[in-house]
Parts: sequence; structure tokens; C-alpha cells
Amino acid sequence: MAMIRIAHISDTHITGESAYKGYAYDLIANEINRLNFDFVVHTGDVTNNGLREEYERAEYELRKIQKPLIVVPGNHDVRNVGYDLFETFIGPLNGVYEFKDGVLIWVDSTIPDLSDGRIGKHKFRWLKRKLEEYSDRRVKIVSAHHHLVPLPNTGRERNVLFNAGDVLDLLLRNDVTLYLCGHKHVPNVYRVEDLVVDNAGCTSCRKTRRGDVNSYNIVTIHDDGRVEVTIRRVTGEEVKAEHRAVRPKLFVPRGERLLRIVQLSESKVSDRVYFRKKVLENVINLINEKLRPDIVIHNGDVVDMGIERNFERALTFWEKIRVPKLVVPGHSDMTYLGYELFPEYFGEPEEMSFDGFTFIPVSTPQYETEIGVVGRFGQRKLAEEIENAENFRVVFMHHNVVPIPRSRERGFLEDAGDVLKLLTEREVELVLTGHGGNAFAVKVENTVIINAGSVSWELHRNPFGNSFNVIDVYPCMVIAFEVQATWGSRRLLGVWKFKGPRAGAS
Amino acid sequence: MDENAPIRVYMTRKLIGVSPDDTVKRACEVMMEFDIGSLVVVEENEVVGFFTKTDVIRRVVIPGKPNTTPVREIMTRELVTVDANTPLREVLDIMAKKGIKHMLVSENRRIVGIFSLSDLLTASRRKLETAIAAE
Repeated sequence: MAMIRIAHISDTHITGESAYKGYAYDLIANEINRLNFDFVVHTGDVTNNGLREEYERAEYELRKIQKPLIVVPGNHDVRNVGYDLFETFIGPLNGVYEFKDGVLIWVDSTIPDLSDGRIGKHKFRWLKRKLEEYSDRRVKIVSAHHHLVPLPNTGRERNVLFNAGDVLDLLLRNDVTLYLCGHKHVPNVYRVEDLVVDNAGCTSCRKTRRGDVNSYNIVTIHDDGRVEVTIRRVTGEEVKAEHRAVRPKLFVPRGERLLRIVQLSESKVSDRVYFRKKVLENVINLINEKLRPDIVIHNGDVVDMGIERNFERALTFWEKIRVPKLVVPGHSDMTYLGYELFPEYFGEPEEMSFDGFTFIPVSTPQYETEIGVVGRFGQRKLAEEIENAENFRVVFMHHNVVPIPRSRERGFLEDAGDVLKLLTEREVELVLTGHGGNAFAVKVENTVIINAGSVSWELHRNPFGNSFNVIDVYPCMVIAFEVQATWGSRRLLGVWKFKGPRAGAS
Repeated sequence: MDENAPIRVYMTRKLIGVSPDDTVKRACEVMMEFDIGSLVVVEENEVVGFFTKTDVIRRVVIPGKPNTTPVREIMTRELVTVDANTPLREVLDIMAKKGIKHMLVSENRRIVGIFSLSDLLTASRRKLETAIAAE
């Protein structure tokens, strides 16, 4: 066993036009040749428009890199039926590269003539088979062009993989070490549970974001399992991130429970057949009689449509819950007259604090649009609220900041990338969301993010049926269960350790 | 459910446990509180033992031991494990033959997960597949 060093380049956009910065490419290619790397990964957008002349030039430019090179196709490479040329001039669109005690599996995530990404059924099955085949490798790397979690500083969040949630779930379940991608021209590193998600910026395209310069990433995988990613800009500036997976993950509960949250979403009260009244009544009974939480948080879509009759009915259900409760609006609450009726019936979302916990609501829906936004004003306000709260912070909103398995990801929160960065940088302990109709929980950096499925609406995406979550906070850990809304049976969503006095310190 | 998938795909990789000096009563409280049928016994961040609800009946209740008995006296030390890369099909075969409801999963000789009948039920309802598009 020995340390593995990878140079991760991306988005070269090679062309005869001004989009391509040849000197930046040469600078980085020379540096890669000079430094010690086992291999180089290019995560796509080799060319600017997938044209023959661009591929011819790219073939020449790529040969400058005198190390083993793996090239992944990007959305620009498949423009103008460039996917055929890619195979002629560069290599296979999908493949496997074996090294030492590891493997890199790359998959074509492009859709001809669209900027969006997907790893559809056949490719997904292929990826799954490869992960099974190489299950015993110490280091497993998966690479595709499109990003997996929302990125900051990209303007609008979009073109994440349509099935990013499914892919993320697959990678986590297979203990994948590292995901390498590019696409948005923004260098970034996130730790999602034990998976390191490494986004390269752009190596030689003029289109950098926020006045940034060209860059590439250096990945070092140490013998002890530590993964180190350095974003290295052409100016010589370096930003480092490091993660070491802890295995086994053992939890020995100590002390009394500090807090119990019941998290609901998508009750969608209405008189349509999809609204399951009996199920909601059952959940309210479970909450009042059996679960007895300290607080109930409803993550929005209280009603199916923002009309008076629905709100009236929803309020009678809401009032039956006999513990403190908080609610934020979802996109369906903000339809028709909902914009006025929601605050009339449920009030403006307000911050609440007790026993060392602060609950911060974020209103994300836009009028009659499924996609939400926090906005730059909203982000500033949220940042202040987070910084002013002293102890265990729970931020709750309707829209997702990470992709949810089974849902068709299309950037549910316009500025999810910036919001996710804001939350993780400030190490918010817990983020609760409620869009996508499926329960899911992951820790991104030091922030636990939990999504609730649909509690009483039949149009959901959860194989376990309608459900809600129970989240228990202990002095050193947080544990989340999904509860089946009809039967009350529980399924573990996740457990996470918390270090230091922050967790529930009062 | 994909029977050829390695067991790591379906196992629970976050294990709840007690320390060997905890009492049987404490262990039972943990099992009830977290709704689990078995516990790992943890010493210095390593799994040193394992026991199930059935073990409590068999080794504490029937012999008439007090519930203050430390867990180390009743835990199973000889752990039955499978490697994390073992296909689900083989794991089910072993569990059926041995008649056990829980299987510990190891990697490089360390316990990294557990697969129980309730994980099997969860797995049976879950397709690790994408419904987005054929390609």
C-alpha cells in the first residue's frame, strides 16, 4: 500500500475561440508533469462545442500531459453529436481504471444537447455492477461530469444530476471514498457522511465565476484512509480540506434525552382523495399519546392548495397537537390566496428558543412556483440569526438543500448551493427540510440535514408509505427515525455524534 | 432488492451499543428506547461482544439472574460475522442455515455493520435503481 496522488482537472473548453485560455492550460499541464502524481482525471468539457476541429486540437493538447489520464465526457463535449467524436479522439465514455489497491469508475452523465445531467437506468445499473465487482477495493472513486450536491457561487442552482439523490444513496451504500466532478466552474469540497465530493473549478476556460481564476485540484489518499483535497489556483493560492472516515461507527448512548422533535411535511390538507385524513388523525394521536415530543415542526405544504376551506380544515388538525409547534410554508401553501391566508391562519414563521435550542425558520416558497428561493437578503438575515443563536441551532425550511433519493432533482431551491454553504460553514447542528416526498438524512460537513417524507398525501415517493420523522437529541449524539404514519413502526435514518458542549448545552 | 449486491449495501453501518460494565437493565432500556433487538458491546471503540433480546431471556431471565448483572457476563464473545463484500444471497443462506436473526458484518477484521431481519424487510422494499430515464 502506498499513498495515492491524483491531479484533478476539468472544464478545459478547448477551442480556437476566446473561451479557451491556452496559457492557463499549459501552466497547469506543466505543473502536473513536474509534480508527483499517480494519474490525472479530467472531469469533462474537454472541448467547447464538441466540434471536430476542437477534438483534433484537444487530442493534441491532452497529449501534453505525460501521466496516465482518464477523461470523462461533459455536456459541452456531447454537443453537435460530439459523443461519437469523443470516442474517436479521446476514449471510452464510461470505464474503469484500476490502480494499486483502488479503482476509479467513470460514467457519462451527459444528455445530448442539454446542460443537465443524469445517470439513467442502464448506466446506473452498470455503475452498480461495477461497484459490486470492486466492492473489496480499499479506495473506490466514482467520477462524472455533473455535480452531486449544490454548489455555492454558481448563481442559480441547476444541472445537478436529475437523479442525484439516487446516485448519492448508491455511492454512500457502497462506501465510495471519493466523487470527482466538474461542470459548474467552481472549485469546492464537501464531505457527505464519509464520501468526499470533490468539484474541480475550470482549468482553462475564460468563464470563471465571481472573478475567480483557473485552478485544478490535488487529491491525496493516505494509507490511513485520510483523503486530502487541495484546490490549487494558477496564482499559487491553495485551499485544503481533509477527511478521515471513522469506522466502525459505534454509539454508546449516555445521559437523558435532551430534546425530541417530531418532523412532519406535506400534510396537504384538502378534500381531494389524495389527502388521507385518517392517517393524519392517527399521526396526531401518536404524537399526543405515544411520542410526546418537546416540539413539532411542520416543514410546509400544510394544505394542498392555498384556499380558505383547506386552511380552515388544516387549522383544526394543527390545533389538536398538544405540544409546542412551528411551521414554515411550502410551495403548495403559496398558491391562489395562500400568500395572504397562510399568515392569517398560521402566523408568520418566527424563531423560538428554549433549553439551549434555537429553532430558526426560513420561508422559501415563491408564489405559485414549485422551486423555492432564500435570496441574498434572506441569506444575510439567516446568517445573522444563526450567528446570534448561541446553542444548538435547528434551521427549518420547506425546500431541499441536498438531493433526495427517488425525486427528480431540478434545483428545488434556486440558491441551494449558497444556502448549503452558509449552513455548513456556520456549522449549524441540524437542518430540517420537507420537499421531495421521501425521508432522507445525511451529514454534510458538520451539519446534519434531514428531509421528511409526506405525512398524509398519497402522491409521494416513499416505498414505506406515508411517514414522518422523530429526531432525538442526546448529550453527545442525534438520532433520527422515520415513522410509518399508519403503523407507527420505526426505521433508523441515521445517528451522528456531536463533539463539544454545543450539543444541547443549556 | 438485489441479491448479488455486497452486504455492505444493505447493512446498518451505525451501531448502537453498551459498554461491558453496563447492567443488563441499562442494556434493555437502550434496546427499548432505540427500538432495536440487539446490541453490540463496545470497549475502546471496538466491538468485543454482542447479544440479542433472546439472549436476555435465555441467559438472565430463565436462570434467574438479577438485572444488575453486568453485560460482559451474558454477552456472546464468539461473534458470527461475514465480510462486508459477501453477496446478500450468501448472507441470507448462512442466516437461514444457522437460524439467526442478526449477522455482524466485518471488514479488515473489524465489525463495521450489522444486518438483521428488519434490514432484510427494508431491503425488500427498496430498489437501488433510478426511475429517471432509460439511458
